[in-house]
Amino acid sequence: MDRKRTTPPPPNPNPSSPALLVTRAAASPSKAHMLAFHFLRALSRIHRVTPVRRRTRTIRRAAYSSMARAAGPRRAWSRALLGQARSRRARTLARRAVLVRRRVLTAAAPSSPAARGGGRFIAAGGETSAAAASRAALPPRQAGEPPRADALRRLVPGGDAMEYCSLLEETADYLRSLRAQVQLMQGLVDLFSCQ
Amino acid sequence: MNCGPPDQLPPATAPSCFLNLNWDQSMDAAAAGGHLDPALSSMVSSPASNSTAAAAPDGLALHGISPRPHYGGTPLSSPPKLNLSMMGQFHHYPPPQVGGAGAGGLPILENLMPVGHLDQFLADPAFAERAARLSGFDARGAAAPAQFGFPDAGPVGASKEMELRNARGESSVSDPASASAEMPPLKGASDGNARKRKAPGKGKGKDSPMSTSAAKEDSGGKRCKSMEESNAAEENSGKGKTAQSNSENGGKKQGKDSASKPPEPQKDYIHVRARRGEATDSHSLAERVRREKISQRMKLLQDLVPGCNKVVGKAVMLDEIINYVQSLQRQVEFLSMKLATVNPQLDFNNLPNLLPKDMHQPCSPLQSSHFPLETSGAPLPYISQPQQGNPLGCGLTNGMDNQGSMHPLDLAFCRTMGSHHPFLNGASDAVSQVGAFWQDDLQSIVQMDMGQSQ
Repeated sequence: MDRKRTTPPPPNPNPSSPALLVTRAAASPSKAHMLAFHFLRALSRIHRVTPVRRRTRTIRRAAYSSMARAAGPRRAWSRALLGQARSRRARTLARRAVLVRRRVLTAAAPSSPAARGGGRFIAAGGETSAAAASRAALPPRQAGEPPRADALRRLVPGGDAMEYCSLLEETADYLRSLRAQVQLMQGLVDLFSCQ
Repeated sequence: MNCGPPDQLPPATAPSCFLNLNWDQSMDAAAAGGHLDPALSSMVSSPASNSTAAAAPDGLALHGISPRPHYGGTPLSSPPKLNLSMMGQFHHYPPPQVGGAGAGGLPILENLMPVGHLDQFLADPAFAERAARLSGFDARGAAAPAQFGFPDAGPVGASKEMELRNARGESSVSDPASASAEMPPLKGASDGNARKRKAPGKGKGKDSPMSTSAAKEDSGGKRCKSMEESNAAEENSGKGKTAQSNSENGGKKQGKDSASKPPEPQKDYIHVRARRGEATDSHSLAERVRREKISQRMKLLQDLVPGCNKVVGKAVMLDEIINYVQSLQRQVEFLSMKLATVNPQLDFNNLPNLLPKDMHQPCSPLQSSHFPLETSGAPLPYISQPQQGNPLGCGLTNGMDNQGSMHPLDLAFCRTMGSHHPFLNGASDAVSQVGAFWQDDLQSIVQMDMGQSQ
């Protein structure tokens, strides 16, 4: 994260070259800026696209994704988070494709049980494979760690497959990111609601 | 670590001939320079005048190398002083590793004097005798040449001795009997040495192991370490390793070598020294390393989690950490719920309240401008520029209060992404206002984050 925390470039009074400005800015975006950028972009998209009843979930997922993206791929928890988001997206797409296929099949031929069974298998297969992978890796080298460590593993994304030592390190980084995210969101709520 | 070729030394501070490891060349250059004798005399007279030596690094440094072949002729007392002055001169060359003159000499000497050249040192009878003594004492374990009453020659002796051992393998044993017989004047120190070598796992509270460990650490020489490794492999796995973790050093050092900070070795494994009364097999050592890493990380976490300073004990700390993570996650959930409901209220009827006062007048056209009611769209142009880096970051980092200079910037941004937001084409002015507003408030928000996140 060090390269993201470099001092920002001085403002360029000659803005006729937006490319130059943007490259200079992009050369040193801080981690907090990345967080704000990703989250706000996602937020605006959500408000444009998502119906109201599902916004909370989507915003929460967007918060975690922007946290992971701002943290960078060097961290295990951020990789795990982004991997979860990706698998979830793939799963929903697969499920939608299955539903469409099912509808087509039921419309074409009344072999609905087979289609529904197949659909359920496909949808469930994606889920259980991911879950099974994490469950299989559940008892790693728990040599000298306290019994409460598994609760921490459940909390920190990707914590199942880590040793206790790296789990603590990831927890520290995750806490920092989480705190930054909470502050950003709190600030946004204040901004949007101070009327 | 400067055990590599001295090409890594800053060339600006040394003449090109200084960088040559070829002593003859440097000798010739020095002789040709004709500064030999005055330099020598100055060095001999003031061994500790590092400042003066450093003041004229080029000339003196060169001559620092050159007098080496003269060692045979100079009296016994001068070589240590010469070495010290040499070390002092070269103090600034490998800057990061050198903590003190004495300690700094070691890496410097190793840098500049490859093994073969030390044979010339050994040709000196006095040196040979001392080296024999050292090797006799230190057949296996770590050397404590400082104990021999030659504090100046200590590190030098250590390096010599290591080179000796390197050159001759582990069989460098002039008979210990004679060596011990010669040691009556150095009895007190040698007792500590012998004790240390016979029971290296025990003599941890003494200064001698500290100094040697410090000397060894500061040497950072791969050769020394490899020798130590081979030594350790001989007898006991825990003995020959030097403690690299600073916590261990802090706990064991008696402040003697406080000036010399052990440099971080660029090794791919950690050296651990077995403490007094602890098992020294590799398993327990690894366990101890792991436990120390875990305690380090717990300390980090303690700083992060508020209110954890009073808590002592790993179990309670872990509970606190878990509670804190859970509370933060619940906060994220709650805030996302709030954001889901609150956000649509950011329509530009409320902008005059949010914008700074000097922007009130220009803002009124905003409300009547043809902004669609998708209120999130207005911040969008300033933010979402998929092709171009981070404009939000750019705006935020610019942090300019006068919006006049931001206008062209926003205009430039708007122009570039007009395709995404057609409603902006006619409202670039307004958008620039919004952009400036966004930037101010967001900057305040982000500054809160920046203070916290890393």
